[in-house]
Amino acid sequence: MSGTRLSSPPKSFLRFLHWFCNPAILEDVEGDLHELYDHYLKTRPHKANILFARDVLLLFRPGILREFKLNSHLFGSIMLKNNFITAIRHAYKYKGYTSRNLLGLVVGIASSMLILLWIDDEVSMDKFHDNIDRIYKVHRNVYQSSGEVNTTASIPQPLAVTLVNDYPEVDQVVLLSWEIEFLLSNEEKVFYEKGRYASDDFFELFTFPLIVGDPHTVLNDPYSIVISESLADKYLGPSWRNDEDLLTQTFKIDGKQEFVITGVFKNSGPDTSLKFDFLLPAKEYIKRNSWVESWFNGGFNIYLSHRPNADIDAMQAKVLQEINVNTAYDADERVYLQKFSEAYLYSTFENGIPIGGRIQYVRILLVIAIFILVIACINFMNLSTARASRRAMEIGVRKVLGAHRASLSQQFYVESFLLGFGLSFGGSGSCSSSAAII
Amino acid sequence: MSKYAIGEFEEVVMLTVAILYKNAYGISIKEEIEQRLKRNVSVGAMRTALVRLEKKGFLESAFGEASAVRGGKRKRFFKVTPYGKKAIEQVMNSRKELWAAIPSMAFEYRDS
Repeated sequence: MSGTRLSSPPKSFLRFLHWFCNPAILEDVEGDLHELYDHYLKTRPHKANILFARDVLLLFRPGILREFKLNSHLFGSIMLKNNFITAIRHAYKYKGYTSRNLLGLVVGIASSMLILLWIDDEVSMDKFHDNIDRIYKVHRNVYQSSGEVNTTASIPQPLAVTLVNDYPEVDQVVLLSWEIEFLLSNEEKVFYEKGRYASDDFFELFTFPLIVGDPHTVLNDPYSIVISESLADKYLGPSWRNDEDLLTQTFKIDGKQEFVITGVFKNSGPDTSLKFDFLLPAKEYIKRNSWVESWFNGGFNIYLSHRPNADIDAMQAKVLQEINVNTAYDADERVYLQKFSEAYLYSTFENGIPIGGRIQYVRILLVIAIFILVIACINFMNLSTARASRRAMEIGVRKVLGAHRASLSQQFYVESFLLGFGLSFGGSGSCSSSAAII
Repeated sequence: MSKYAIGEFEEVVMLTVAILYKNAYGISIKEEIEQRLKRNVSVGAMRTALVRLEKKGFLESAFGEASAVRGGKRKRFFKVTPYGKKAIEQVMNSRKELWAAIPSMAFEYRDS
């Protein structure tokens, strides 16, 4: 068996050659290839088939290809026009059938498109930051004596200081509080608004473009406040853009401390998991609450970016016991770094490692979307084949009049194509309108 | 040059066909080029060149006897036509003219 296989070149490639090669030179070319193959067998028997295949593939080029004629039945024939007319007449004649058929597919396509849009939304969350690949979120795994591991993102603030001072591979470290509701007042206007405390480098680490203010310094002063575009509109009126005294405006927080505006950031889109309407400097909070400065309390979320080309595994290993070292192993709390790009979708932790989260919904819904589409297609096929008996007479007449097999299939292709055309309009239309409603 | 459009590889193929004289067919041309010029030639590249040269009228070909070595396929032997000979001569002459036109100073590198 192997003897015969070795002595003759692979059949499939020969067949391929026969298919594409210009018949005028085929015999000669094939002879050449046979001769070369024999030569390969003598010199490199194990690679002979591969070398032969390579030779054949290299022959697949203009100059050697034969002329390919397009099927004249399918293109540019006068029947095409007739096919369009029959398809439209047929659709009108059986309105119920057409609309049911279309409706099934439109609903199927629209709903799977909606799901895919949502998935796209979820997957692109937070990806707009310029250095998203270098940003990590710090987690704290608390190992309980019962063996349970609780994971929290509330990290002792001194860890941020240690990261800045003792870790050369760390570029920027940012403290960020949770969203807190404050009573925010500017002259007569008083509203409850949601904001966060953030440390100095916030606007350098994350890409939230500032309309007014310098991203390097806006949060440097402990009594500064950075507000969003919409908040500025709400409190200061739309004229704030031209207001020269904008940076002297002050906001009172909870009726006590006054903060001066140092910057205005662009409204962030829906694709950020970090939501806030204004930011206050973290140092102001720390000043009033010295308990945060303890290694035993967790006060802030910590985000960090490493320098390009830093060894993140080594950094992870180094930072692992950092809290334990500073609390003299009071409780077993280990530090875990998670890529910020994955933090939104993988937020459920088990035994100290992310096992899932929203990604599970993304996966489930993706499968559902595919299923809906497949079922809609099957339904469409079913309905179409169910009509076959009714079309049999029409096909019979056409055949008697001398229609070829090709022209008959062309007719049905045109029909399906027209239906699909109406469908894509209906599908995208209903998808966008329902997306607008949502 | 413009009258006889001929590429570098095509020129090599034609010269090789001339060298091989009565024994110029696909594989022998390929091997001759590989041996003499120490460069790899794929069957595809060579075959395209042969087809193109024949279309231009620089080469002509005829089938030889069938042999068992080639899976029962006949060899097609190539020959340079008089027109083809003119073409390569012209290429050679134009090169010669260009060489002759180079001033001797051009290749003296010592003092430049």
